[in-house]
Formats: sequence, structure tokens, C-alpha cells
Amino acid sequence: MVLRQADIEQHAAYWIERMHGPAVDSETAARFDQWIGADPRHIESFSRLSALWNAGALSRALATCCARNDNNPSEAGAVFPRTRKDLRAALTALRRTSAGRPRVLARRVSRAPAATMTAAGIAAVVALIFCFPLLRGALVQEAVYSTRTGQERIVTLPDGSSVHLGGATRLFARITPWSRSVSMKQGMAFFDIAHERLRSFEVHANASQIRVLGTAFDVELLARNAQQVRVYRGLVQVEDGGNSWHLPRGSGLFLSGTLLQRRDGLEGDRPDWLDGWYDAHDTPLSSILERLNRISPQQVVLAQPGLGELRLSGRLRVSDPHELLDIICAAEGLRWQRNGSRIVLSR
Amino acid sequence: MERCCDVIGGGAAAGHPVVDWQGTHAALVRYLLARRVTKDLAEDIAQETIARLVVISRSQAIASVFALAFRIANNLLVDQARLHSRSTAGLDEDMVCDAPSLDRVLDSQKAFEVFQRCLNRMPPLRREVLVRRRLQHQSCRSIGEELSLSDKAVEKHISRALDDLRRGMTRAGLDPAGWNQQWY
Repeated sequence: MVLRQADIEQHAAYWIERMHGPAVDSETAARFDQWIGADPRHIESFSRLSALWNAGALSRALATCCARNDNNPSEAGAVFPRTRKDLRAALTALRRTSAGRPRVLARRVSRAPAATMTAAGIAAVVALIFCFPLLRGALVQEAVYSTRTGQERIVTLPDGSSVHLGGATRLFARITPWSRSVSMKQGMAFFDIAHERLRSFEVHANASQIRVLGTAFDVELLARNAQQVRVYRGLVQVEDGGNSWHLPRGSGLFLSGTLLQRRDGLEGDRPDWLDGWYDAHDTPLSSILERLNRISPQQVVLAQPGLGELRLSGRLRVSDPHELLDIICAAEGLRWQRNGSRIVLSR
Repeated sequence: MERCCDVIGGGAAAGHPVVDWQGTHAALVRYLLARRVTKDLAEDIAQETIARLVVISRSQAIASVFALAFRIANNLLVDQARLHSRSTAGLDEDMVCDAPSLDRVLDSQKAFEVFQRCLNRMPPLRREVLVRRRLQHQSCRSIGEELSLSDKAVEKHISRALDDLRRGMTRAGLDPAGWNQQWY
């Protein structure tokens, strides 16, 4: 009896495939009607499988697995790049595209004969002293860069450093012959700093200063004065409230009031968000939503603030907000619904 | 049912084979009840489906009455679900409906999770075929050509994939085959 039912289900699966095709020839159609008419259980089985085949959740699940496979074309469909190993594979492919220019710049500077350098330096200093008031306007380059929600932007600063701004980000850059600094007001940005031996690069984010010579790192400002710094190349010094930390490549720091969290073992040479991902490591839902809300045209809010404390781990695709919400809901037993121009996440 | 009798005559006169509308109606009700909608709703949708089928059958030959009937019923179910969700917007779902229909269960977060798990475990080729067929609406033939598979092999992959998904649902307790099972 059990076997019989399994047979029916198999036949039903066959018919689902056949009858959802674009064109069904009359012979097949007649056979289908015959099969349906033969046993009431055929109808029931076909009905349930039909619901399964048409299920919206199946579309979403397929879209998720499909997108992940696209991300890793060398293993088309073989592995879901969810693990660290896959992340590394995905990032290796991208490695070629970044970090070329800063090294070239550094080499160009060091190749100049030392004497010429010194002479040029003295001349520059002398010129500066005499012409300072006149030159100030020409030498000091200041600019505000910003992005809207969902927008990204890559800017090249006058010193050759590049800054990749994430969504809803605002920063102020000031480059002078003797200093390079950026003040971040909000959002997140990935800095690929052109190496210079004398002129350091500083990022002011909230109350802390991040000082570097030539590295790649990203900074994310979060609610309640929290922030995160992650280093992908070189060495970064972070100062906050009289304390100072040195972060080598592959490490990160999460600062929130008095709470401090060090992170090690970061892989790749650029942040997850540049490729639309979020690598969560026991990360509070509220932080993930902050990231999502920099991208999502519909702002996602929590029905109960306490939900923001839920912790998630894993590799999440932020570039598709609905899919991300599906995954969060599946993992935490929540649900989401549209409410006007917003999306509400609730238990 | 009187209307149906008219139609049988009409159909025969137009040279099409006589359709057993009563049988079709019964099949439709069974089809809908398998989706665990209420008896009243099943009757309503079956009735409406038959009415539409009758109109269609007057102007053209229907290759498969059941296939068309089920498709119309599916659409009506979707419409009905939309109407229902609008009219109950703001109310707690659990308060409104204590035995969700199969379609609602299969659209839930839990089902999404189960589908994902099943897809993860599926052989990559089978998953690839399913994605192309179900998500990208590619024909079996073009899938076969692109993946160097015979039409038969593509069909086999899809019915196996469906079977995998159905079993996954059964294992997770969202069993479409468990019509005797108590939900919640």
C-alpha cells in the first residue's frame, strides 16, 4: 500500500513536469485526463504536487541557490559558496582588480634620487613659507562626498587613494601637502590608501582616529556611536578615548561605547559588502539591518526593538533585501511584511 | 447543475466530445480539498471553474479538460488567497486561520527553509535542471541542449527533484502526502 502511494507520487511528478510545459500535444493531454480519471488518489497527489511546484517559497529558494552559484561560476552549481573556503575562492578572483595603483605610486616616489628629493623638499618648504597665504587655496583640497541609500560611489582623492563609499554615506576629505585626512559622518567606506612614507592618512570616525600610511581597510559607522574597522592590507592604528590598537591585516575592531571586540581571521583583500555580501559572525540583527538599510529602498524596521539583539552567523547576501529577509526569518522564526513604504520584521 | 446540462448539449452540437461536467466538478472538489481549503470554498471555486470552462469549451476544443480545470482552479485559489490576506490585513494570522491551506504552508518561511535544505542536498545537475525549468522557464529541449542531456533525462531529473522536495516536506512535517495528518 505504501509502495503504491509512492508510485502514484512518482507518476504525479511526471505529470506535473509534462503539464507545466508550454505546449501539450493532444495525445499527452488525453493520457493525462485518463490518468486523472483512473483513481481519485491521482487527483489528490497531482493537486498537492502542483501546489509544491507553484509554491512561492520554492521560487525564492531556487533564486537563492541560483544566485549563489552564479557567484562561483568555476564550480557552477557544485558548491554553495557559503563557507569561508568559497568566500576565499570568490575573493581571489577579484584580487587582481584592486591594489595595483598604490604600489606603483610608492615605487615611483622611492625611485627618485635622494638628493633630488631633498632639494625638492627644501625648495617646497621655502616656497610654502613665503607663499602660504596665496597658495593655501590651491594646495588645500577639500571635498564632501556622499551617497544616497542604495547608491555606491568610488572616488579617487588627489593623493591617489581611492575610497569606495557604501550606501547612505557621507564623508569629508581634506588633502594638503602635509596631511591627508577624512572625516566620516555616517555610513561605511572602503579605503585603499596610496602609500606615502611621510604623509600619513587619518580617518576620523566618531571619536576615534584611524591612522595609516598605506593600507586597505573599511570603516562602518553604526547606530549609538558604534563602529567597525577591518583591515585588508598593511597595518592600521586606531585611537579611541586615549587607547590605541594596532590592527594588522586580517583583523578588525568593533567599538561600541565601552564595549570592544577584536576580530581575527578576516580573509580576502576587500570587504564583503563590495560584493553585496554580509559575513555575520554572531552579529546582532540590528547591525545587519543597518547595513541592509543602506541599500534597501524600503527601510526595514523591527516590530519589537528587542529583536535587534538576535544573533546571526553566516554569509548573507544583502544585495537582494527580500531574499535576505526570507533567510533571516527562516533562521530566527520571524516574519516580514510590507507596511506602507517600510518593511516590518516581527515575531 | 442545470447550466451544465445546457453545455453538454452545446458541446456535442459543436462537434466536440461530450464533457462530463459533473465528473469534472467532482474531480475539482477533490483537487481543492487536497489543498486543505474548506469544503465551502472548494465548492465555490469548483463551481466558478466549471462556469469558466463552459465558456471556453463553447469557442474552442480543450485538449485536456482536467489540466485546464486545475489551472483555472489554481488561479482562483491564488486570487482568493490575495483577497483573504487583504481583508484580514493587520489581524494576527494565527487568529484568523487555525488550519492553513496547503498553499499557505508551502509558502511559509519554514517551507522556504526546507526547500533550501533540499536544494543544498540535491545533486548539482538535478538542481541546475530544476532552476532552469522552474525558475527560468526554459523548455526541456533547450535545457537538454545546453546541458547535453536527452529530453527524457531532463524530465527524469525534474520528477526526481520534485520527489526530493516532496520527501523533504514529509521529513520536515510539512507533509503534502499526509492528508490524514493533524496540522498544528
